[in-house]
Amino acid sequence: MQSAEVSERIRKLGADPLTMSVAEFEAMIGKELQDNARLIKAAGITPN
Amino acid sequence: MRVFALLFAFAFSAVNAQTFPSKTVRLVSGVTPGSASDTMARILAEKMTVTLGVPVIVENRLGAGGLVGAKYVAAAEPDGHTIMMYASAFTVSTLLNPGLDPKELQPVATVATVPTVLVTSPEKGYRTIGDFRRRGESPAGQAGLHHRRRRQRHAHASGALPLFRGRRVPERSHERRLGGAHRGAHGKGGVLFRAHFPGAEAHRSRQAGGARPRLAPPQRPDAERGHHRGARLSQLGLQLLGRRAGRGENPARDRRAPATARSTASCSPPR
Repeated sequence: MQSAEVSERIRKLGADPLTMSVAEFEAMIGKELQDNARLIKAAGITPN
Repeated sequence: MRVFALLFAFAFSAVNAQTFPSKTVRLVSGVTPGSASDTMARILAEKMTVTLGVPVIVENRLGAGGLVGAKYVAAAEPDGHTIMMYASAFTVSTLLNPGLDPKELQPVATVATVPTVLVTSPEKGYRTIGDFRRRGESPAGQAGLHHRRRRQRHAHASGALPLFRGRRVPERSHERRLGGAHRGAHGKGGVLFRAHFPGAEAHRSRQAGGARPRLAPPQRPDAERGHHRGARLSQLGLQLLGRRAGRGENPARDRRAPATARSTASCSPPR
């Protein structure tokens, strides 16, 4: 993802390259899991 | 709105730097060839093949919102030769499926975010998210969320939840065929979530004479089929994902407008 060529190709697809450290990434995933777990519980969501 | 953060994950284990890479690296894509994260996986695989010096092949393992592929990666030898591209659906689908603990996969790197937009028929008169909410909150309203493919549901739901939390329950409507969701959004008073990306880009590229990429055949074990179909959106507490028009409220639908009448207009993104 550090490659300018790869970033440019991703931009051309309409997306925005996103880089962060592994620690930040893990923290982000952990927070999303927590938030979504709360939402799923609150809303009573189940797989169908 | 950006709800489609992509990530890269591989089976949890320290990789022995002295022996990696020693063989072909499999980059699992849990989505359809040509979709957003799959296209990015192919871009990365091409680059990784050069930098690692071994073939990196993209392997499509479809089903259950990416969980079929995720389980495959989690069960693989944890030597770094089997990795996966996953979308933000990871943080929803893994919570709903007891067959995979999110901790079985190690986040490695973020790749990109993809803007997602709400579109609706011009007949609906939605100009802003506020318009949509107000209409959806009307007592007679039922809501419909449409999207292009079943497996995108989690990503959209996870992105939509913070926006629509606490709202009344919609009746989800979903059609799997390409274009079906567009027709659904048009005809049933709903709004369509659509990732601003992809298949269309690949299609245009091919139309322009670009070579069609060689794709590994999708693998979807029968045993996994139907194992997990994601959240029932009718239980999400979302309301405003469109209001199903009552009889007489949507003359176009009442006349059974032809399926080709599916022009859409963008709503302003939420702020």
